[in-house]
Amino acid sequence: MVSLRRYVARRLLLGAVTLLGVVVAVFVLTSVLPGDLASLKLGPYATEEGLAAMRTELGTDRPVMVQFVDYVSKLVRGDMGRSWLTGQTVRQDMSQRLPATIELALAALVMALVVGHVLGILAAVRRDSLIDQAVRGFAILGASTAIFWLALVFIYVFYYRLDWAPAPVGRLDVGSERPPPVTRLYVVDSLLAGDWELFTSSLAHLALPALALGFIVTAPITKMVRAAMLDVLHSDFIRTARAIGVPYRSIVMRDGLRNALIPILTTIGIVFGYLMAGNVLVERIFAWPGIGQYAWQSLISKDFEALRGFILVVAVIYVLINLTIDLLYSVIDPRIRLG
Amino acid sequence: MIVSVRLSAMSIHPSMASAAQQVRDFWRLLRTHRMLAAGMLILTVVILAATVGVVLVPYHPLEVAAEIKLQPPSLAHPMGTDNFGRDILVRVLYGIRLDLRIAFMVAFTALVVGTLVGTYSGYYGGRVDDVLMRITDVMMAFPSFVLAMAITAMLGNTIPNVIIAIATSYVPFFIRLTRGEVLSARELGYAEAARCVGNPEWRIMYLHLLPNCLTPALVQATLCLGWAVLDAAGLAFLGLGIRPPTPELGVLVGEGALFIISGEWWTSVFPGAVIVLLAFGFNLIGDSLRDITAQEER
Amino acid sequence: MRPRSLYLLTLMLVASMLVGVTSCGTPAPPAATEVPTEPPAPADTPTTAPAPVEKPVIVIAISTDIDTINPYEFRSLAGYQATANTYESLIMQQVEPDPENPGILLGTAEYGPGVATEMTVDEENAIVTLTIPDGLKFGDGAPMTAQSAKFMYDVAAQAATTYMPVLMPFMGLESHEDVVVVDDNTLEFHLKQLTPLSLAIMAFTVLGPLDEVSYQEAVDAGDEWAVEWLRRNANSSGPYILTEWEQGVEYVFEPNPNYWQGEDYFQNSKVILRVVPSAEDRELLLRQGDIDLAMGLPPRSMDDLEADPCCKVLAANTGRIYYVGMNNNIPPFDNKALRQALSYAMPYDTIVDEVLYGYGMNPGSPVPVGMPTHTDEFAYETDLAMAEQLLEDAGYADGLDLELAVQMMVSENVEAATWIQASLAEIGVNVTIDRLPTAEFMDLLNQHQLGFFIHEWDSWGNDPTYEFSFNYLCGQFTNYTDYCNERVDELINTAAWSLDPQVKEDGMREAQQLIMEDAPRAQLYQPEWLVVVTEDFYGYAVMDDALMRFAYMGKTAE
Repeated sequence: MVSLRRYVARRLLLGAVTLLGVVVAVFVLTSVLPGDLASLKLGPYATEEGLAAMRTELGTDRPVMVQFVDYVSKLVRGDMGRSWLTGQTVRQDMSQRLPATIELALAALVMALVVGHVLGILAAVRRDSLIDQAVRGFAILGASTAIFWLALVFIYVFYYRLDWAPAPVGRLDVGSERPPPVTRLYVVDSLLAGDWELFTSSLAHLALPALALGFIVTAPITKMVRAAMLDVLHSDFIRTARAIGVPYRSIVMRDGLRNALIPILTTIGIVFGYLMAGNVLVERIFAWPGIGQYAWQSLISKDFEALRGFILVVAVIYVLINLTIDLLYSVIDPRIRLG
Repeated sequence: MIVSVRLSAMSIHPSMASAAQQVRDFWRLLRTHRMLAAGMLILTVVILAATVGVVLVPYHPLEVAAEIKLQPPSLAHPMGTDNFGRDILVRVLYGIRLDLRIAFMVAFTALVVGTLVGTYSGYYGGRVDDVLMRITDVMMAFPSFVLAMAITAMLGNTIPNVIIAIATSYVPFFIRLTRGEVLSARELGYAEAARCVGNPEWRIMYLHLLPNCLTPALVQATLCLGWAVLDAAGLAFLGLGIRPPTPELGVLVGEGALFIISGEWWTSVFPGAVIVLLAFGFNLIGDSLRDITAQEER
Repeated sequence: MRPRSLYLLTLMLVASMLVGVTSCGTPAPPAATEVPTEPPAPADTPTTAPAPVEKPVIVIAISTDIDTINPYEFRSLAGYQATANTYESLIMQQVEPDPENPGILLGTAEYGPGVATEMTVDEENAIVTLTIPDGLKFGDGAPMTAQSAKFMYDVAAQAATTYMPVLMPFMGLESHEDVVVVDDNTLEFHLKQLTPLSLAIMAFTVLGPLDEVSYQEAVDAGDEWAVEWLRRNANSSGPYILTEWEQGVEYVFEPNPNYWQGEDYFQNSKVILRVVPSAEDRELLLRQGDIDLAMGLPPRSMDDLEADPCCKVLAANTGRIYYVGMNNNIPPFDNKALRQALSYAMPYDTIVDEVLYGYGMNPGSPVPVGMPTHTDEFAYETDLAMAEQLLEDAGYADGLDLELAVQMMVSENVEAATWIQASLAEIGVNVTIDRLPTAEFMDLLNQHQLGFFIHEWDSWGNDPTYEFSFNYLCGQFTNYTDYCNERVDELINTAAWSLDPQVKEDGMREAQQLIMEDAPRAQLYQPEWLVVVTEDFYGYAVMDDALMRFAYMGKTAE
């Protein structure tokens, strides 16, 4: 177990280095954005003294290194600055919007996992058959679909034409009460509160954006499940299992899938990172009040600190997910550590 | 969706085949790899349309005509007209040209920068390699669309900046890929031999090692073409980078999006479908090429 | 929303209120004005009897979030809407039903009581005295006195992030110390001099009374100037209390039980501001009856909405001119003949028809239609032959390439730019449209770095000297085209201080002629202000400050 401990330590260290790098990169990216925050905040009639005072208050008149140290020391305390667009601290903004994004990401992920597994396994089992060809084509199509276009098509078809989905204006109908916050995922909270009407309403609002996102991320999951299953199904122990008469279906479902778990986990990590960020487009189209919408707003209004906060949060989530997954499968599969 | 793909080296086998033989091989390749053929076909058609088709359509992309605005598809306007009475087909065709240019510039830039840095990193190894790898780690911690978005915002709203932004977000994939190839190729005999003969390091790196490690990077570049089309269009849809009414596919979808809920679907559905078609073509080719190179390795 | 333009908005509000004063006939305030109305209803009457009819809930779609409701800081438009309903001004603009437009209330030139019931102006000593009655209360029941009114000035003048000191000189107030509390019922403004804006600024909602107690609690908790507290909280002196605040989703306003006009003043039981960024979505929600009022809907939807039994369109005239600015200091726009050529090549009528769908007009003058002295005698009509001739005179016989900057989010301007691009192409001018994010556009605009751009001027002040002072005086900050003509300056300054209507008439006529001839701007279009409401909605008040007053809004019983 010494090697496991060393592996974990090394991986944690690497993760920490990456996180530090992310902080530096975010700072560099956003502190060289053109424009003067002070004059944005104060407006055209600001006096020179006012501007100077505001720059001092914001600290933008100091050397870059000092600003960086200040930025990091504030970050350590959980202070990501203030958005001048919303008037709140970026931390408040983020924590208000993250649940919406997470709800959407999880819904899309669950959908993609289910569909991806079904298709991937089907394709692997019937390798090179028509099904396999179709599934591979579908996976490539999924990777080629412009999500903003797909979302619009969904709105046209399911809202405008068929009127199955509610208007694309957020998480709930206008004026409806929000469920008591427990997880702050409306679908879950409304169920916990036993409010059936609210549950169906929040689910209906969630459906289209989740479907659009889910369609896109089903592709890589399908692909990875198929490849991983193929690898496993051709491995020696499966052949042995078949030889000794274990039913094929049970091999596929139990042994095959379990051993295909590791590459699939990796894909999930990547996909989840994408979902957190690929949301910018979908959230904008569906007026979904998550962090993607927030990022877009802050981008066009040059709300530096908000944008910086968004990029940082997304990158940190991404690094942490991958770290967790790496650690997770070093525990599941000892061979990883030797590699 | 961007998934870093570790490609394996294709063995080097000097081809002595004649031109005729090569053509025959190519046809056989297309016949056995239907997806490759399909991708080639799609792209040929699209590129032909964007080059020859533009000449055939009797409209100009900026030509407005108030009396025929928002007309549904018809024989005269197969993709309908927009709210300025402009022909959507001709705008789509011009859009394809712009998006293809952007995609090629992105893939080329990312390929060149990525392979040069990757070769360097793989060849020298050690501390340089460590630092470069940590940098790619950091770059890959940002979802590529977010990175491209932030860089565009930082550099300003122009097409060259969009190219730089998207290319930057793809570079780490090429660095990783090339580095891996070079690492394994470095220890092969010929690099050693070249060194013994007294070749300088840069020659060994870039003239001996790099060309032999290029195949996977080229395959990756094909895939990047598809991603670049999607990312550029996505940025443009958000209003970043490309100035409407420059006909660009993402901008066209964005402009048309206003009319979706009032039922004028053709304004955004056609341009978007072409984006998907383009990306689909590149991805079909890229995917098939990857399968082929992987098989050849086996 | 747009912090800088909001700043202008603020100043425009001020300018507009002037109209309330000047249109009475004299530019200088009368020696003693008694606000013509009965004293406010005693606010401490217990609100016992429940209303017989259940009052409706009004849902309004807004395009952006409320950023802050701190009265002395910049806010988004939604933020201004919120403060206009949570702070009560010392004197208030009165409204009356619009005879032509059922459902609309028009702001009149009269000011009635707000917090103050009486006002006297000592013109000689520049002292304004306000009488504040007994028994007024803040939302939480704390007493509201003359001291509360002064306290707002103290804070607004000194807080670190305030913009109010910029406003105070306009009203002739040198220091907040010159606002003097004589006793609980009497407040005096010792002005350096009376200006046309003195009373107008006093009537500003955000200079309404501020509760010292709750303010001090926030300060004691370590919040200097209570900046943070005021951003989220208001111990309401106005008709509404902001009871729910969900960023990015919605804001709920409920009637202030301690409001001095009492319960009957309110036509609704609650107002919800719902954030719906896209105009298409706002339209959808309105048609479905999910919201009661939407603004900023595209003109192309209006005919359809009017035909739809769901809704009615309330259209009001505005004095807002959208113009194509050509900066006189930035080549090639330093060339007068070129500016004239471009002015002749603008597709004025097409824009009115195709972008505004008829809800607007070509002003044909730097003075908007509906403002005194307006004349379209010097208007440019689209005339491509003339444009080509002038282009040749300007030395661009072979045409030229230009970049036209527009704000990405103002879709009417983006559309107008497209028509302009097509029209200019016909005289050999190639236009690239530079669609900029708001912040970037405003940045460049404020640095006077845009050579060729579309922007607007909101002229709620119904007076050409005001319109011109901001837009055409040499070196004026908001003169974004850097236009400078000394004769025009002279005409503006003379007319602004003259009491002779003929001087103003003649001077402004000459100024219009000169400005049109110099063509620093192509006066592109003057749209109507479009508000769409549900069929049963009534009580949209068109105030000089263009901010909504929630209390008037109600629904007819079915």
